[in-house]
Amino acid sequence: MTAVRMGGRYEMQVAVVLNALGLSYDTKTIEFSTGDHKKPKYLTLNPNGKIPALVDNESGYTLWESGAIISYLVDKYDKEHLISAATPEEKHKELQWLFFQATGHSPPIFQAAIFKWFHPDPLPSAITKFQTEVVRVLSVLEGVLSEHEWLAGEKVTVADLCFVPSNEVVFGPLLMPEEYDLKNKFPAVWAWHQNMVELPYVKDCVKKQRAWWQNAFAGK
Amino acid sequence: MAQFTLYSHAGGPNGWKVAFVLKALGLSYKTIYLDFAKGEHKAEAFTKFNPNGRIPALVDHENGDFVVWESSAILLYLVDTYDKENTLTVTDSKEKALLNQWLFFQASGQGPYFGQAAHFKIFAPEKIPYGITRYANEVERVVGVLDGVLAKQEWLVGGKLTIADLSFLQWNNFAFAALFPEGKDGAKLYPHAYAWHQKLLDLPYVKEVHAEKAALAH
Repeated sequence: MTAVRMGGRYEMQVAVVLNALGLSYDTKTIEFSTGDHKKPKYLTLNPNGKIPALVDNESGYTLWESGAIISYLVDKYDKEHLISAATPEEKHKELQWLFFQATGHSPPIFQAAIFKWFHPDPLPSAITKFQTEVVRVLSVLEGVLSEHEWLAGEKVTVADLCFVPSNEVVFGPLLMPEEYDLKNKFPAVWAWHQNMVELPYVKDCVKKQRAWWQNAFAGK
Repeated sequence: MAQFTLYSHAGGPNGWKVAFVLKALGLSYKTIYLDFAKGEHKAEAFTKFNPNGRIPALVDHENGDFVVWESSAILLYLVDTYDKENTLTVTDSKEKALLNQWLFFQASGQGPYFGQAAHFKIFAPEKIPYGITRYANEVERVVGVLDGVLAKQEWLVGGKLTIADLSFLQWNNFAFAALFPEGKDGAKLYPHAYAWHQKLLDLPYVKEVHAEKAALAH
């Protein structure tokens, strides 16, 4: 039995993989508003104080960083390569995309959100800087997905799935200006995203995340 | 002909990261330094290798010209394929996952935010105090996380030096020199992280690469 600490955007990446592989897990929510993620009890699991973290209850083994957790789960539990690369070369391409998502996709999205929602005074230059980078990243994905159905091989893998949670925010109504017209400007990315959202092991996670966002922004 | 072609940049941190590991493993490589001012990193001659238009990218001519980008993925490719004696990596599957954990933390938690710290403090045309403070504080927080772990253990994974440790080097170099919040001495406040950082700087292949970097500046 493994437990996943949840509470924001990244846990969906892990939940999708756990669901796809039919693994059982409990979820413990870490409350950010009371600073639980920075208290000693959680910091012993993840000294970085962020979610998610994965705990294997049988062995007490803990792991953090969603990309590392996803790699660990597929390496250990996806022997038939249902959602992961089979050959060493494909595996490194898969890692390449996992790292690109972690370093190049999530951070500008999150920074755009910080400057748009959490800074008391409007800082248009900062918001635009990050929104522009988000658009650039979408254009990178568009270029690849215009020619290939999936990022790392002939089928959906964790390389594709890891983009879903943050792209939900990108394509949603809250972050990017409507006039950017992303669904029409990046049709291959939009179609790819929609295909993944419909997958049985992704659907429920998306519903949960959308509900969380609606709640978080209710009345704003 | 050299086994690898490394597409890199003289100033940025991430190409050097790959050079450390290539040298450490005794692998032959030729470096092409892209001229960003001329837009070489966004030209088709390079984006055919890396559609993201960033360095580094690595081509392995002894593996059918296999191309991989994202410096962390490159490091893993190199150790997985060519570090047969596991000099810079680990073999146990749980330790491998921890290696990935630290590589992902460096890629997602150090690189982008130290980059923003540099942007807001040094390169942004408009001085935005919130941006300057936020990311300087994040630099300190991240070094603090490393310091806390390194107070209890000598290396990040497996009780030995690995690519996980090396991956933090270039950005930490810049951080200790210029990115901490005003008035804060990172070396004094985070001595374990600083001592570990100094050990990495002293490695022979790191010194060699840094000498090459310095020579390029002239």
